[in-house]
Amino acid sequence: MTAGFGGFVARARAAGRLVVQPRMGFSDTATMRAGLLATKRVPATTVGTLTLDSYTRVNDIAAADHALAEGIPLNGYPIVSYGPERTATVLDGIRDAGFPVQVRHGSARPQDIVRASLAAGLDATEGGPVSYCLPYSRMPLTDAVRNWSHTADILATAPNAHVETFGGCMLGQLCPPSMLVALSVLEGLFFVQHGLRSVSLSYAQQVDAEQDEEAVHALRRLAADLLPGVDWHVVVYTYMGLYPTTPHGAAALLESSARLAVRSGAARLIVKTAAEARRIPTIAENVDALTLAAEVAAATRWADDEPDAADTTVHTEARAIVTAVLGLAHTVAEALPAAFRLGYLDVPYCLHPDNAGRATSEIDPTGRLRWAATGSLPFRARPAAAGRGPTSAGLLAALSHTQRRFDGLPATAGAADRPVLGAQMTITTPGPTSTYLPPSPPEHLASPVTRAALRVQQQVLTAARSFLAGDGFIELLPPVIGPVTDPGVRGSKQLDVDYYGHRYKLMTSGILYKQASLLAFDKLFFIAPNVRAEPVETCNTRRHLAEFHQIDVEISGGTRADARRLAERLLVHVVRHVLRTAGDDLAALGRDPVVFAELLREPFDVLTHAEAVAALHDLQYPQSTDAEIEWEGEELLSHKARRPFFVTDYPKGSRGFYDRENPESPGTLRNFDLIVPGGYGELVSGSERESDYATIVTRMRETGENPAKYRWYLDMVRDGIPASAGFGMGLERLTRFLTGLDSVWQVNAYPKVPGLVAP
Amino acid sequence: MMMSSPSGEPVVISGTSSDSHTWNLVYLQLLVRELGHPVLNLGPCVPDDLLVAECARTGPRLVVISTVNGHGYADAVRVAPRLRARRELAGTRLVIGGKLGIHGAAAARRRDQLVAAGFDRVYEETELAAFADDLARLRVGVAS
Amino acid sequence: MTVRAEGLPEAAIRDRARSGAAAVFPALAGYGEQVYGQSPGWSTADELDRTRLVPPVFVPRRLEKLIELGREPLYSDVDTRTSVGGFTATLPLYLSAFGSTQLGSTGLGVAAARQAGELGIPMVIGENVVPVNGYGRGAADAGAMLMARVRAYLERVPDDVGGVVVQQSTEDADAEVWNLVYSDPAVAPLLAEGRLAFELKVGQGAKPGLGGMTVLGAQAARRVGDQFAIDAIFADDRVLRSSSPGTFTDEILRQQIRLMRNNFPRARVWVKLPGARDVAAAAAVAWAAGADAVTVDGAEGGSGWAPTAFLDTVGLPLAECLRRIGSPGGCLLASGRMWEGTRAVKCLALGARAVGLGRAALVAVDEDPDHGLVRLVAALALEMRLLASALGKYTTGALDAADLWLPGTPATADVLPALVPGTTPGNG
Repeated sequence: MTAGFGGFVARARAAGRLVVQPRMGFSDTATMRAGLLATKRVPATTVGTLTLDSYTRVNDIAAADHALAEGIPLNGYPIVSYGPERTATVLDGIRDAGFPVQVRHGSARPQDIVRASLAAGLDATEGGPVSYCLPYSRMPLTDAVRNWSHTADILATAPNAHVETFGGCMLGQLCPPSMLVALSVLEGLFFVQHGLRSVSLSYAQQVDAEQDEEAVHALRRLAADLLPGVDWHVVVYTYMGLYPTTPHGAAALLESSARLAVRSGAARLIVKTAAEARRIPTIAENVDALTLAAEVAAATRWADDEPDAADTTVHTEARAIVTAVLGLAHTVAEALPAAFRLGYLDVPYCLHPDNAGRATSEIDPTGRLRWAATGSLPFRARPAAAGRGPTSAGLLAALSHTQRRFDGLPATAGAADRPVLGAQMTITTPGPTSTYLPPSPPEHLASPVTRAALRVQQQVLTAARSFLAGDGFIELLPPVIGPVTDPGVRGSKQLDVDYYGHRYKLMTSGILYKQASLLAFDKLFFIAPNVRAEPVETCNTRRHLAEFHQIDVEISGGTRADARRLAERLLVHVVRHVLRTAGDDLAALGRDPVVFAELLREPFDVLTHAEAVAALHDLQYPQSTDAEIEWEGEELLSHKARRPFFVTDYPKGSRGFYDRENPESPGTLRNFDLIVPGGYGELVSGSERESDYATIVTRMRETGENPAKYRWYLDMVRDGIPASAGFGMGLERLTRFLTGLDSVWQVNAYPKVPGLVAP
Repeated sequence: MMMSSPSGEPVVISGTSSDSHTWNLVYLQLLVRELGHPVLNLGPCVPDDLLVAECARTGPRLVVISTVNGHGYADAVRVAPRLRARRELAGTRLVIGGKLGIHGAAAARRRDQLVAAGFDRVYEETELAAFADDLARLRVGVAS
Repeated sequence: MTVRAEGLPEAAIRDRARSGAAAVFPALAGYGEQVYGQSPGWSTADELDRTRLVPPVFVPRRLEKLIELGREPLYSDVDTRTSVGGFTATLPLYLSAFGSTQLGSTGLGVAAARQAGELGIPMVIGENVVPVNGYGRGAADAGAMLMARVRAYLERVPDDVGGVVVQQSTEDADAEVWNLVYSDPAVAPLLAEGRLAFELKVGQGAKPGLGGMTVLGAQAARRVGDQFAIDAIFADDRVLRSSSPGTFTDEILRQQIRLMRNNFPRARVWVKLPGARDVAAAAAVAWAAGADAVTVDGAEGGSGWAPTAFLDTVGLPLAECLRRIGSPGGCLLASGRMWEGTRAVKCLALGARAVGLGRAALVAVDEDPDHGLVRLVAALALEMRLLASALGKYTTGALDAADLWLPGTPATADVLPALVPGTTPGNG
């Protein structure tokens, strides 16, 4: 058994312990030292990491020096700027035979980095001529091969040097496993051909656990065949793509990578933390991740020592690639540039000028990562399901597939064909929220997605009308304009019309007319158009339209419980009806009926506003206790939930004057919202109504309204209107929830997204 | 709404010299192309010289710098005056978006300095919608 | 038209608007030949004006500053930057609202906005600009309208300071001023940078207990006749337009503030109170409900049209308002006859975070629409620095009641502990 980094990992593997390692780098030496020490003290078999900053990575040492001089924090450890003495003091007393430390960098020209590392006694590093060039650099591949050949020669002078290939990562996501395995093997062979005797072969976790296990087995099989007499092991990277944003999702993904490593016979795991989706993780977060991964690994049964010999697709494709590439030249160094030129090696979505860019990938309906187009790859794949190229929205969907799955979002099978808005695009776009705007009216109306959604909506209307009529409700046709309208809508503007010289309003909701109509009928509903010029900031919530419709119900003498119960029954009835009558359309839209199973088991859970606030505080969301639940918070709760739930007792000040204040609990309202799971958010808003004249006038003042403009309404209230309760159910939101579409505008034939001028 | 065919001078998409992130650029390429513009994607880690040379060569209708690695601010402040110094690029629309510094605060000052350096518009992380709006407007301008 | 401001030393303000900081000193012409002393016409009626600023011999905060700088501090070392109602301001100043009176809505409003932006101080836009003059988008006579003022302000304001505050009072709810502004794409950058606030106008200094009042021509009166009370009390065809004072209880004020926070989560909330006898209770309710600033407009304040009886004898003067509020429970702003440094410094010493310039700003821009306000403020700021430095204070937040003496009252022991370093809040 060899000494050094490789020997350490081999001994741990022989003892049945998975080595866990962070990706950790700080520009401050004291912090870096603290991080290494904390890693060493984790109750697990760990190795340390110095991850370098991105200036050092591109050899812009002057910029790194400048930043250090100016006190500007770097995003990693500037090993060249600090020099060997400074680095030695960082490592002093920490690095030893029981705690090797590896340098991670990402450079296509790493000679200076490797020299600085070796000078500080750091003989373990990682990289590769392809994996550190194509994704991260514009250096010609031939130059990167030359640099890495030189680097490997430098490293080979150190007796126990160890290099890890980075070829198992390639852009982090959407590179099919067979290409990752092939590149990792080829880079390992490249290092061995340059005289290195200890290498590790990487594989980054992708989208499907079973496929990943097949990939690691294929990697081990190929390594065993091609690297005889060499010390090698497989290192698994916890998912390198868009990371889950919820703590539970992040932990679950980390756990699954630890299980993957052990089950597939890897020896080492490089972890990610729960903070990964948002920022550079702290030392403590790294420690937590290492501890969790080690615990899960210890509880998982190891794979057999011999790799699985099944001829999986991954193995067959990877072996075909490796064989074809090795056939091009005597050495890997010579073969690699030729292989890329010929398209035998072709990394999907890689923008490097030397990458052919003819091969593309996609996530198939079973959740595996597969080739969508194979270009000149040396094997033939099944023809891809869809013949068209990737769309921006499809790319987002595929990129966020794992994130969504682990955050408990709707199932994503088939999602690659559908647009997904990216609250999750933190690391991949100019902003975390992406927008997907409606296309031109002809295009939108002709789209099969629009037509399927509108057919579902027709079934919603049919079901709602028959249910309410069957329950004794009469449908009234709603007014469209009036001297006043519902003021209780946050931040949105009312639209005026000139009515014979008087300023009239388009209805923001029918609430005032619903209350008035109780003078005619005890149980009534509108299916009413509402117009609210919502603030532009809502254009990206995916659930706001400036023009939309509500199923607007009112029950004379009803209580909040009556209204809530009715909303619950109405929703369940509509869902049942749609599942029965629009199954084909749901299937075409990729909506799995299984997501409604929990919903059909009424009654729904109820939590008060105070409890919802507390739940958000537990999730570290800064929700004010006396204000409306913010959009983001509501979406967070919606993502966490498995079934619909009511939020009740909103504080006064958050809703309109007509929501009745609770006499037993002044300051809270006898109202409710219904939130549906999966991030679809609020679907229904309802309340017991205030019907007392003096109270309504006072509440108008409290909501900043001038009672004078409500004259017709107040005159009527003064004469007496019945107490009541009711709710409005958003028709487009309901349709979006049923269809699982990503934006509410997709279910409206003439969508008006706030802030966008559209017909 | 009229769709313009993707021909003519391109929208140049580019990472900054120290930023190796790719997906933001791939996504932008697809998005910009779907909105009807031809795209020249220079990819990640684009040296200042290359960016200036490619922009001068192609006369782009829009230059989009996207950066997410936290160093983009310094890179961008350095390269923008170099683009503006070329006479043919003095009036070219130049925008930047992404994560523009390691620390979240002081955003307003960063924006100010980027504008002073020559950018017409700075999109913070949360402003992709605004970017898409502006692109859509660019389309109308090109089509009419 | 020439702006008249009889309640103010108009000639002195105009002198400053012409000469800037030089006007802090007597005319140079007589230098070396003339002896100087207190101005003969100095007001004796106003308590703030009668109060004297009293520098000490022992100046522990100057010692702190000396240690910080490594040299003797000068008046130029006084840091005037402060936080005003959630905004950063270069000086403890803001531009008070000018309402819809002809004065505020001519080009002067725009000129004042431009200069306030240049100065980096927050600007309040008067409440009934919108219902009377309309909202600026697309209108031909956009010059004096709200958005014109916002644009003029944004033209000059540096990126990290200042802010725009839009007023609305009871009757303006009909016009939904805040909703209009909040959903205007032109305002989006201000919102994104946290530089927009809405001010709930509970009342104003010039006429506590009355609503807004303006005189309108016949045509304008017809246009707003269904929104406001119109009273034809004048000899010609002009009419008095009055709006209601608005009904408030503590619960109504509290809930209106909460509603603002709910409906406009990205805007700051300011509340403007008149010199009412329960001003302290109202301010406490406002702060507790989450107001970012409470503005107190003393009875001597206001640019607006008001009955003489109200101007002369109704409402608490500013000094008494500040005394009743005592130690403020949040950001307290003060306005009323502000134009020079001593009165401003006295208000800061009595607990205000910043003071508002109203009529004086109008006179200054009337004197010189391009630079009048900037120069007036230059003089004020110089005086403020000289005074704070003389009092041994190097931030305006460090000023306190110990810096003041009202003739006829003894020094009290309880102000002495405030002089001990470290016991007074402030960043000096």
